[in-house]
Amino acid sequence: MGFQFLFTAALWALPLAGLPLVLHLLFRQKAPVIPFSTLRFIQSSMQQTAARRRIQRWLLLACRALLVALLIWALAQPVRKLSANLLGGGGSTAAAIVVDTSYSMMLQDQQRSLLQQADDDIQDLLRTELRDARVAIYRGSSTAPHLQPADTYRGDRWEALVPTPSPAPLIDSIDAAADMLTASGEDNKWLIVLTDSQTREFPRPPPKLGSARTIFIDLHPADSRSAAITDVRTDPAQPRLGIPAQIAVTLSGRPNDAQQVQLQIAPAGQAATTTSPLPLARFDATGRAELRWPFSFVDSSWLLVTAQLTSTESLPWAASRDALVRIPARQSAAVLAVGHPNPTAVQMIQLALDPSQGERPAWPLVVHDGEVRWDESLVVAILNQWPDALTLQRMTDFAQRGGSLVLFVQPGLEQDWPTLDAPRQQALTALLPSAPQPAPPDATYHASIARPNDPILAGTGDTQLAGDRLVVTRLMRFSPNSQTQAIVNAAPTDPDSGAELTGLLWHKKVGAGSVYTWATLPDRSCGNLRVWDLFPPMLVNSAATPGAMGEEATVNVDIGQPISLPAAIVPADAEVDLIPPPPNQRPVKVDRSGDRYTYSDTSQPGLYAWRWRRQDAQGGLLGWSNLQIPSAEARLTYRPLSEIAPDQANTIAAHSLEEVRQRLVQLAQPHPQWTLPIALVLALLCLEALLGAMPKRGGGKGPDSAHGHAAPRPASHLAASDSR
Amino acid sequence: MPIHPYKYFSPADAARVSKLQLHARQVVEGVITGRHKSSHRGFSVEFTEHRDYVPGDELRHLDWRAYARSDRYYIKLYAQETNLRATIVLDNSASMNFAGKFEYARHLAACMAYLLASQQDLAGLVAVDETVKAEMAPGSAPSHLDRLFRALENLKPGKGTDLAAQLHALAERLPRRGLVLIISDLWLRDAAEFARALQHLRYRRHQAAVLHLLDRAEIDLPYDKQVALLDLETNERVQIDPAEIRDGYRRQVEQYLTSVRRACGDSDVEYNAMFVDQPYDKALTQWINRR
Repeated sequence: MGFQFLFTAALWALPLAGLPLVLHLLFRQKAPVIPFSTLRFIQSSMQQTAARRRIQRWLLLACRALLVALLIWALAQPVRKLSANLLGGGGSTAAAIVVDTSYSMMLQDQQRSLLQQADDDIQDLLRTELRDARVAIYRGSSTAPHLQPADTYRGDRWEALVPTPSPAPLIDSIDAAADMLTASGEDNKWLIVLTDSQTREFPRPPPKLGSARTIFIDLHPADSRSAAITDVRTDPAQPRLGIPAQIAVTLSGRPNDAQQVQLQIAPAGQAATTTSPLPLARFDATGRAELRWPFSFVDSSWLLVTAQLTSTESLPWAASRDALVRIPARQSAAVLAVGHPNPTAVQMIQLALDPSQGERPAWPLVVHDGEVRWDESLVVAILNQWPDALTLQRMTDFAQRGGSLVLFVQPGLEQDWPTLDAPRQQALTALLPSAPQPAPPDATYHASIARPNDPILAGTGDTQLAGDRLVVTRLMRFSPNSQTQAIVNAAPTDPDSGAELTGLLWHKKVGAGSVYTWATLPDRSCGNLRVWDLFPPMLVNSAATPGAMGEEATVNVDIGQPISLPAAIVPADAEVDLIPPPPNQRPVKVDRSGDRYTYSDTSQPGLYAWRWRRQDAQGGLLGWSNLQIPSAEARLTYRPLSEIAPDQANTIAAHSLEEVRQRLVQLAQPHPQWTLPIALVLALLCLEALLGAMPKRGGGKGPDSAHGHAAPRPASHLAASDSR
Repeated sequence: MPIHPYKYFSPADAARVSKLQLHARQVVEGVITGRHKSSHRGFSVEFTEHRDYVPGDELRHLDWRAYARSDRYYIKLYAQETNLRATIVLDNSASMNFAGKFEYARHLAACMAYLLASQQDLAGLVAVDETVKAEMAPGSAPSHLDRLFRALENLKPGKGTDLAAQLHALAERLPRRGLVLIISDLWLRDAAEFARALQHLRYRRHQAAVLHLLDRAEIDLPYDKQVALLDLETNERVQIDPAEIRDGYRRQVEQYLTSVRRACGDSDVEYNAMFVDQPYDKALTQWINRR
């Protein structure tokens, strides 16, 4: 880019810039000679100001010469225009095309998706402006391409754009393309970005290219808020068999709009069995809506919960969304009475564990009577006396294997603690939060929830005020330590009672299992724990709920992210296959990496089945993984193009290829540049006026009057007659 | 025959000057009894002090009352009054030719000489530039004044100035305790040397007074167009844009005049600046009345 002139002939007048110098030489003033008494102070003053006066005179002369030159320059009508080769033309051209292939580009606009529009635009460019250029096309986060002749992409060799998962933002591809252009040696460099300007794609400003030009084509329509399902989940995240839960569906859409949502629940890999129309989702002013649907899971299996928008206005890639849920099978539980506990307390615990006493099959626990077999998932032990060594050993082994052990301890037992031998004390201390502390003074305690997010409180609703309803009159004190956590605390009702805050329900990890210790009994003599509303659900939640495959994160995964399976759940000597979703359901052998089986090529959304098989043809299902488009693709939050591509000399931001071409044509047309000359002329005029005005300060009079005998001027700063 | 034959003194001047009286500010040594205090103890009417009697003193000056009180002989001493011996030092340098300062100075010198003579004081004249151009011993006779007035008329401006050297020489040459009246524009090369010359005069017990003649153009540099200034003493020529140097010039001249005033003050010399746009008789009257 440079300046050109519409009236070049005017430049012939440029030598007139020397006019001020000529005029100065021609019309030099003939100064009158005046006799003066002494030149001593004159010469001294001139020496002091000589340098300044010399600079000032040269500046004035240069300013006037520049002024004349600038006026001539302005008369020549300077214009600015782009170089002749707009997209190619003179010299070689390199172009990097970065196209956004994220799923949000599937938005329909004028019967075509944005991705199709980008596809058409790129092919159009390759046929016309870039036909002689070397081109590299960055498709989403695919591997970095190389500059190739445009012919390489034309005709049958063109691969249509398809949506691809993009874990990295588009700006990363833009940076890579900019680096490649910078390194290339072509004369003309172009960076062309086709995107829908999603905010998440531009977490930082695009790079500034020194010599290259950048074209941003923002394809998203002006009104593009279509409905989409952004999230489907269960509350609690791990529902239990027969325990009421909620299915939460989050949507985004046009503010104050309403959309119909349909909910389907089906066993994983099978057709839907349950279809529930949900109430209308009404979007708030920000375009968000959330629906909650109470649901009780009655089958212990892998279930796929699908929420689907019925409107045609919805985004095709986000009109439905899944949540894969595994409902664990019923777990067995048993009650162990050590000593002679109150039968009512035992019965209350049994009722809390299974209120229907085996009548309801859809219940997470099945409580069996009789002796504890120690193969249960949950054992509740009521300790009216310290257990013997054998029982202690069984309890410890049970917990070590991964079972959940709930201990109710009789307050007052701490008095017998010193009578126990050291091995029993040691074994008990390994299970209990700590060694029992001396009995607290008699007092009444009110409970408070110390860890409301503990899994044992999952699904119990708002627990903020629930603790206050639990009153305990007798408890056993334990000292907190790093291995234990107090889930429920007990605080003395009367602060002056001398009692202190202490833990009431403790949790301790023992091996692979957990030990929950209630420092009291569900007995009338110890308080109202037996009738506390959170007592039954907390007791049920105490049962170990092994994750479907050890980690919930591997169940519902965004495409592009790896899925994995813990090796621990795979039978010995078995190989693991992964069966992708339809249509291509050929098993893929997955190799073990460390303690997990990991599969990374997750570009296809759907349900992936993990299976095991042996040489003897034995095999079975290990679990499922649900891959979905990232929920961020359903949230259309666009960033203004002016923010992404600020108005710069080398940047063109437009909303279509046609607009880009119009802008290029406009840039190619000459535009008289008056602003700069005018500004310069004004600046020089100011400078000239300033320099010209400086000598005038101080005033004076003509030489003629200075030589007279009686000067008419008033008295100077000296007095007319000064004497001492 | 003209009524007043002198170019620089007229009867009108005589009428105005005769009303003035110039008194010496300190004791002087004259040749006859006059109106000025002498350094000598005489026998006039004003008692000054006693001294011991020595044989040969006139007995009429013996203080008998003191003898009665102290039984010792004391002679009463009285202040003696004498006339003033003044020397008018006229700067004859070329710079005095600017703006009529030399004419003005000659008028002042003539008036001063007449004034001194009219009060029985002696007035002499020394015209100096780099050398002594004219010198007349002090006198008060009408014939002396006539010669002095004519000498003033015959003076022509010289070239450079070496007033300080001439004052040094004059200080040595003149009898002690006289009045030295310096009429000059004081555009001197070395103000410090001038200060030392004044101190020399003072050392010789002379009473000195400086009448500093100035033109306002010398201070304000009032020209508003480019001019070529010709130094009257060196014939050097400089073309200037007055507006460019005016501020600096004024500042330096003011500093110089301050140094001159300070030199006079340090030597206990009367300093009086006179602008030549003011009539000389009026300026002279103002100065004498202010003393």
